[in-house]
Formats: sequence, C-alpha cells, structure tokens
Amino acid sequence: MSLSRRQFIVRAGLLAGFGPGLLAACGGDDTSPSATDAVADGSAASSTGGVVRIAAWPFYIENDQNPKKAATIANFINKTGIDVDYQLAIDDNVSFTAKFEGDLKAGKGIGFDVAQPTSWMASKWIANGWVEPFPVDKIPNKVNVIDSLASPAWDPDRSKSLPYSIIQTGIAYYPDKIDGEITSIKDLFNPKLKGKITILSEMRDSVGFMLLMMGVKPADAKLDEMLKACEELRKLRDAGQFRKITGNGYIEDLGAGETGAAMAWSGDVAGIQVDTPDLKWVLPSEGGILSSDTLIIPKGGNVDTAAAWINYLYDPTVSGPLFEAINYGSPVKGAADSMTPEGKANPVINPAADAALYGWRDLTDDEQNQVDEAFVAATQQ
Amino acid sequence: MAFGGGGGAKPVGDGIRPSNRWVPWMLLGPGLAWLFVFFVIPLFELGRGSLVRGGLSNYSNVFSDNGEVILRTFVYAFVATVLAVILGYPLAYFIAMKAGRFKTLLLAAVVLPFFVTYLIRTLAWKILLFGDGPVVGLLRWTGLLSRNGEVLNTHAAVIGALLYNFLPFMVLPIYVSLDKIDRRLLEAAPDLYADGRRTFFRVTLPLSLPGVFAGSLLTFIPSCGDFVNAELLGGDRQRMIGNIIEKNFLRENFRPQMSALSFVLMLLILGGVLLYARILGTEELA
Amino acid sequence: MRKRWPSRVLGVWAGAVVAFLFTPIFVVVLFSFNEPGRKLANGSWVTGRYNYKWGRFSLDAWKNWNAYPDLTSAFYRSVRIALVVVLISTVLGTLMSLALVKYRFKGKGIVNMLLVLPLTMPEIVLGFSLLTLFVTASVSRGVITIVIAHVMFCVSYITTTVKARIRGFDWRLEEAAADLGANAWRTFTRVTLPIIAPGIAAAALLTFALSLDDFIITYLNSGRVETFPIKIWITKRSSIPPQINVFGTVVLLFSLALSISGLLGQRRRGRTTN
Repeated sequence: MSLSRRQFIVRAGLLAGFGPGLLAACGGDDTSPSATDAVADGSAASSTGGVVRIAAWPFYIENDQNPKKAATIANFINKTGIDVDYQLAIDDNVSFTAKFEGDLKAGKGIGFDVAQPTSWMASKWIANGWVEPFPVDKIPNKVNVIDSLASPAWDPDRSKSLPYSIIQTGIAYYPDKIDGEITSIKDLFNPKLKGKITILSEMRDSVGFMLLMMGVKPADAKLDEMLKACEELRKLRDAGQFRKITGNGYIEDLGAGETGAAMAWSGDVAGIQVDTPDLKWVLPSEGGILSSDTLIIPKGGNVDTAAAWINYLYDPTVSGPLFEAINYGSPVKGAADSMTPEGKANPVINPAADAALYGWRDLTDDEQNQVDEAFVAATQQ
Repeated sequence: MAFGGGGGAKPVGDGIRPSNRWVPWMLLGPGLAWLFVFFVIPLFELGRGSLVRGGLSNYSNVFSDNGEVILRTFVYAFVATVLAVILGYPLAYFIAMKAGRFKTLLLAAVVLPFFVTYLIRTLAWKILLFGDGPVVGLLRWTGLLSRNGEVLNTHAAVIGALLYNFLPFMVLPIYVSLDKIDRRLLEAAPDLYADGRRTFFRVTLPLSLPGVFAGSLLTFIPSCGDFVNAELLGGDRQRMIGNIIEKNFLRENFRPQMSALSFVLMLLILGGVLLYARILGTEELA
Repeated sequence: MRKRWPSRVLGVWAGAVVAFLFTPIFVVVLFSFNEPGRKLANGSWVTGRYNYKWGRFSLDAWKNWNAYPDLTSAFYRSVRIALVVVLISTVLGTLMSLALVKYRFKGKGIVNMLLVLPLTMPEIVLGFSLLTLFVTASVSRGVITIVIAHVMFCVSYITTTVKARIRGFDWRLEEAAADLGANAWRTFTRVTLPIIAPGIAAAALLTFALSLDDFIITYLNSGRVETFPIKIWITKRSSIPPQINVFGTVVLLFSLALSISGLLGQRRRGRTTN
C-alpha cells in the first residue's frame, strides 16, 4: 500500500532545493547542555555532585516559569554553590509515580534527587523502598518540623521524608461566570453549574469533597462510604457536571477564565491572581481537605545535594517568605515569624486552629486499592 | 485503480538482478533490523501485553468500559475526514486546474502552516475559540450561538481542530492525482459530452479517486489516534481513545486494558482501510 | 474564456480554505507580540502568566527571547535530536531505497509492506507499543529512546520518498563509470550520490520537520526528558510565555525563507533548461 507516497513526493518537491545549509544552521548553538541531557539515559543518575534535580508541582516556588530567578532558588545557589534543575514534573501523584515505577522497581535512578509526592503517595514510596534514607546529620534543620507532622505512622522518625507544604483544597470560582456566589460543596455540585466546573484527579480531594458533602469526615470514612462517594461522583459525571477532571492542569483553563468554578488548591489560586483578579477562593461550609506534600529522595538520587536543599527549606527564614509567596502553609516552625503581617494573618497560609479542614487517615492497602479502582472507573474511563 | 508502487510501466533500470544476491539484503539489513526490533517486536509485545491478566476478557472489558469513547473517536475521525474532502477537494482542484503560475505558491501555502509546531497551532485555536474570543463573539452576534453558548468543550471544536490539523494531508494527495490527469482527456471531453459538469463526474472525479482515498486515510488514521486536540479543545465529554491511553498508559494495573484498547484501535483502522479500499476498488492495497 | 460562476465559486472556496489554514498561524505570530496581563488602577502594568488573552502590544518576547532558559534549551534539545534522527534515518532509508529500486529480489513485497505499515498506524499505537517493549525490557526512557522512536517512523518516510525520487535514474551510468575504471566507492560518490542527493536532501528535511514536531510518540517514550513540544505541554499548566510563539514564528520564517529560496532556485533552473 503505497498510497501515502504521493503526498510525500509533493512535499519533497516543495522542499527540493531547500539547501543543505539548513542542517548546519540548526545545529549546535546550545553551548550549555543542561544536566537533563546528562542524566537522560540514566547513566549519570547519582554521580553529579553539583546539582540538585527537583521534581515539583506547578506553583510551588516563587517563579516557576523561570526557576533560576526564583528568590529561594537563586539564594540557594548563591549560598551553597549547588545548581538547581527544577522541573514541573508532577501533574498528579498517580501519573508521576507510574511514570517512574519501572525504573524504581529495577533499582535505577529516575533522574531526580528530590520529589514532592503527597504524603499518602510518599508513604507508598517508602514502603516500597523507592527512596534513599535521609543523611540525617546533614539536615540539622529537621528539628524545625511542626509537631503535628513530626511523626506519621509510615515514617515515625522522619528519617526518609519531611513535609514540603500544607495544602488546603477548596473552591475557586468566578461570581460573574456562574451568576452567583459559592459557599459550599453542594453549590459546586449543583446541576445549575453543569459543564462549568472542574474537579481533581486526586482521589483524596474529589472523594473527600463528596464525603464531606455526605456529612462524613474523610478521617472517619468507612470503605463502603468511600465507594459510595465514588458512585456519586460517577453519577454527577454521567450527568455532565464536570467540564474536566484533571491533575494540576485544571489551573490552565481556570486561569484563562474558561472554567466557572473549580475544586482548587489554595496556592494555585494566588498564583494566577494577576491574570484573574475576579477569581474568588472559598473554603466550603462543609469543610475543605487538608493534605501535605512530602519531600523525599528517590532511589538513586544524589543524597548530598538533596539534603542540602531540604535542610535549606527547613530554615524558617527561607520557608517564611517562600510560603507567603506561594500561598501554602509551611510545615516549618517559626516560618510565620519571617512573614509580613499580611502573610501571617492570611488564613490560607496560617489557618486558625479550628478551621474546617479535614485530612484523611492512612488507608490500608486493601482500602486504597478498592477506592482507587472505583475512583478511576468513575472518573478516568 | 493503481496509484503508485510497482504499478504501471517499469522505469529504466528498475530491478537489476544483482550479481551477488546478498547485495540488496546488505543494503536493507540495518533499516530492516531497526524496523523489526522497534516496530514489529513492539506490536507483538503489545498484543502479548493485552492478554496478560484476564486474557481475552481484557478485550470485552475494553468495549464495555470504553464503548462510548471508541464510538466517539471513530465518529470524530469520520466526520473530520468527510469535511476534509469537502473543504480540500475544491482547493486541490483549484490548485491543479486553475491556479496557473500561482500553483507552486498555493501548494507552499498549504504546507507552510505545518511548520509551526503542532501544539502551538492547536493552542492558537484555543485562543480563537475562548468564550470571550472572536469566534464565539461572532457566533453569538449572529445568533448562531446562545448568549451562554460556547465553542470550546464541544464536539464541533474537537472535530474542527482535527479537520484543521490534517487537512493538508487531504489536499496534497488529491492535488497530485488531479495534476497527473492527462489534459488532453479533459480537452477532448467537452467535444464528447459538451458539458463541464459531466466531464467532471465522468472523467476528472474517477481519475482523482485514488488521491481522495490516500487523503482520507492520511486524515482518518492520525485523527483516530490523536489526543492533543481533544485534550486542549475538548472536555470530559469529548475524550477520545488517545486520551484514555494517555491518562493510563503508565499505570501498571491498567496496562493490559490499554494494550487491548490500542490493539482494538489498530484492528478497527486496518479493517476500515480494507473495507474502504474495497469500496473504492483499489486493488493494490493488499 | 469567459468565467462562469462555478469557476468563481471555486476560487472563493479555495481562498477561504487557504484562509482557514492560515488563521491560527496568524494568531501564533500576532501573539508573539503580546504582553499578557492587565493594567492596574494606578496605571502600572502587571504581566500575566498565560499568553491566551490579548494584553498589550510588546516587543518584549522578541527582545528577551531567551528569558526562559529551560524553554530555549528544550528547543535546542529538539533540534539536536532531530539532527541525529535525520542522520541515522537518512542513511538507513537511503540504503533501503537503493536496494528496492536497483534490485529485483524475492521478498520485496514483504519489505515494501513492512515499510508502509508504520505509516498506517496511529501514533498512539506506535508509541504505546514501543513503550511496552521498553517497559518489558526495563529500558529507562530518555534521549536514546526518543531517537529510537523517531528513527522508527522516519525510516519509512525517507525510504518511500527517496525511492520515488530516484526511480527514474538510469543505473547504467554506474556501469559506465565502472567500465571506465572507477572503483565502487568512486562510482558511488562521483556518480550515484550526486544524482540521488536532491531527493535525499528533500527527504531529510521532511524528516527533520517530523522529528522536531513530533509529540504523541515522544510523549510516551521520553521519561523525564523535555523536548520542545513536551516542554510546552508541561509548562502550559502554570504559564504560557509569548516566547513560545517567538520560537514558533522563527521556525515558520525559517521554513518560509527556505521555500522562497527553493522556489527561486526552481525558477532559475527552469529558465536555464528552457
């Protein structure tokens, strides 16, 4: 079947005489092949001494469009001489982990020295032995971790992980685009907003919202309640309620003003405020979801540069300004003291002790698998 | 109807019998090895992978879980292809028959947009189709769209983008087949039929069908396997097979189903191609 | 001849379709001069993250085209990958097309079929099956797997294109050269190569464009490596700087310059032969 050839003849004809200068003109301007190329084939995974390669979520540093210009990173480079290769590699926990699962199982490096999966996923990485233990003596600032996150069941002495951030999942919306205000999850899932809202592909956020709406705290939820929540999500989806179900990519259409209302992470909303002055943030009346992303050193990562980066982040004078800028809660004791009064008073960064924020309990493997499967069936297929 | 390949007269020099019969195989060796290792074996692996855990039930699951998406994918690709013929044929005809000295220029104009990165030009459509953008504004103003109506996240947006992205693949083959038609035939025709329309339907159109055939495949096949347009311009209700695979391709638990889904996509396309070839009577396909 | 109305309709239709093809291209170029953002109440300008809505005219993205070094290096990486892909696939593809055009042998039909099959498969199938192989063989994805994937689909393009271009070549010239005492290498470099070179160059250029632009297959097989299209795909979640449009426009201008010089060259050649 040589049908396609014709078309190529035509193209070839058009392109004929294009001159061989093209190749020369295109080539070799890149005088500084980045670290990415060196590690691309997995060869130099842990041998590089002078760079820390970070896999990050979007909106997690002051200027993630141009990480080297972000104050936190620039100061780190100045201070330690360690270069930073910062990639927005994480869109959601499951897809990020899946991408490197094969390499991790084979005991190979994944080309990152630091990653930031959410705590539940970090616990899986640790259980599977996919992380390097922290060189604890190189992270003296570790003592600054706030008490409530100091010893989770899956890493009681925090010898393999430390929280990076504290996240609130709430609702972001444009009053004029949905002709009204939103105060609750019920409002968000109101058929009136059919096709205008987005939800997250993170099970704990989306199922958590549904549980809260059902009046169940995620920390107390039983398996059948979680499955019921998945079923409710499926019904909503079949009715066309959701415009999209995405990872962190939801922020793009929200930033462009196309999404009317979105289940959103607190910091993202602040991140796009310049583009979207009309965008509002609300913690729903049923409550919001509280979670924490976690710093780990993936197997094969450079433990020394990673430790330097983690230790640096645990300096309250670094953490304060950074988290004020990105609008997330800092897990570092005393960070608030390095914030401006406005930052200190911002409930998204420093919520009141009695704020309606609910975290998940640790799920058993069986629960995790069952809910995951139900959630994927309800939202991804 | 033959359109290329070994059909027609043998050009000079085609098919020397080599003194050493290993010569052609030595020339072919490296390329064939590459294709074998990185094309044939992967397909075999894909087929094998689709039967891991669950065997053939993976296939029935594919249809029960994704039936709607599979159907939607083929409808999108089909509509985009038909529209591409409707838009592309007259353009190709114009270039081949009427453009005169602007022929090359017009051909270049058809190809040139495709030197702008695929993602960038699709993002440009997004800019055009935003709720407060020019297209929606125009449609609302003319009343074709309600006040709250939108274009993004609709079937029309995704089909339109598929149509746009693969339209040149339709125009060029049709152009080639039209361009090859012996003009004396067309000049003689009016004497016999005395009617431009009949000339077109009796002579030109049949002779250009191979081009339509090739163009249809070159539009239909990539449309079926695309996820970029549906992801950028569509929403949850516009997902295609590609989006499902893209979302789940790395999840180990889902790999058998995704492999089965890819295999189904491939087989359906091959089946469609053969059927289409049969209808148009292109025997060279097999 | 007097123009009848179908002819006019045809012209308008053709013009409209060409306009349709160029509309987004116009937007790409236009938005390279955009500075997204808005004016604050106090009159100062804040720059936005997403180059989606028109803010104000600015040459900033052109002046500071390298403002996002990661984007620039992804672009250069794509160019480098494309060059390697062109090199490998041109050599492999040219050898294959020579074999297919010059010689008659058993199994030719199967070889031809094997060459065409990749062109009839959707990219997602090609990409996913290759990924399955890499996963099974536990090969880490990176630059090397990207090159492998690109060469896989480019070899077919090169072979079919070059084959078509050299079909009419009179191979007896080679024999004549040999009769005159030229050895095989000399015959190839002095006789064969100059004649098939334009065809190869055209095919190589096509391959370069295909490799530079490929997204779907690359996306599935890239691991953590960011090519230019992948960089756009990833970065657009948090920002779409107009510099992306600058790169797109530059590639367009470059192709435009090449096609103009190609057209002029053709015209010149045409004149000398007339």
